Amino acid sequence: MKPEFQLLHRIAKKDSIAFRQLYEKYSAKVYNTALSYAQSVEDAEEITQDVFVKIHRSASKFKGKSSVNTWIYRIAVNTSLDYLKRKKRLSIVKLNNITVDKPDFEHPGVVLEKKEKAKALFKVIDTLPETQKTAFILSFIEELPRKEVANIMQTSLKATESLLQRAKSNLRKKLEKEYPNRKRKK
Amino acid sequence: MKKNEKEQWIDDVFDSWQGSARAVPNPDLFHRIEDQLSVVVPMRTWRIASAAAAILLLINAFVIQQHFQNERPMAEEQMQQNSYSNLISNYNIYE
Repeated sequence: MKPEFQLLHRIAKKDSIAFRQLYEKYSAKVYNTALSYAQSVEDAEEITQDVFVKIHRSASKFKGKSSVNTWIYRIAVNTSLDYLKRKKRLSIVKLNNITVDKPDFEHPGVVLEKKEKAKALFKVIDTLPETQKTAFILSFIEELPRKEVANIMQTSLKATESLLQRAKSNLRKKLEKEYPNRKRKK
Repeated sequence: MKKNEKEQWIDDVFDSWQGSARAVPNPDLFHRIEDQLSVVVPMRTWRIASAAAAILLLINAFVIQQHFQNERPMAEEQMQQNSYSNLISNYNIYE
């Protein structure tokens, strides 16, 4: 049995040491994925918490059809998307036709001289449709191989590559509007 | 030239992620996860809650049954009153 499968097997038997080991191995991946979706440190922490609670509670149901990495990323992606949908439903977005804009997200890992441009990148990522956003985050931000992205999204490699292409094309179009030195129309 | 500058800026935006470090979650997060997992509702609490719910349902059922039982005699009385007044008005018995 693969070592990670053994970890899940032990977690299913409520082995707290095994759970700690799994957390140490995957918490940064889960947290960074959540951060890319939520674009908020507090929300990302809450999502990460939910993900690991789910892992603990469903460890016994893991059948080994995918790798542990794929399984955990899948939970992280689905939990992040559910969280965003829930937050959107609960938030007061429009009040008397006034839309409240959230502040631009500053990723804590970005180097200082690239922060402004990274802010623009995350701003436009946030506007992508769910599937394009997921494909882009997993491939570009998490730097996962495209085959792994396809496994996580439970789709074909070709479909994943098509999503990525569309995502990049959409991002470029949106970034053209964000370009800071563009002349404003009178 | 403006177009090249814009395209370059867009390329720079895509490149801004290069060399970034992974963010690290709050060290306290694992303890919060453990705390959440350790919350278990005792069976005794479930039993008390179920019993209370059952009692409330019974009370509600009793009240509803009483309501409909009382309504029937009242309806019958009302019908009788109506037939008396019709009799009086039709035959002008007391005029």
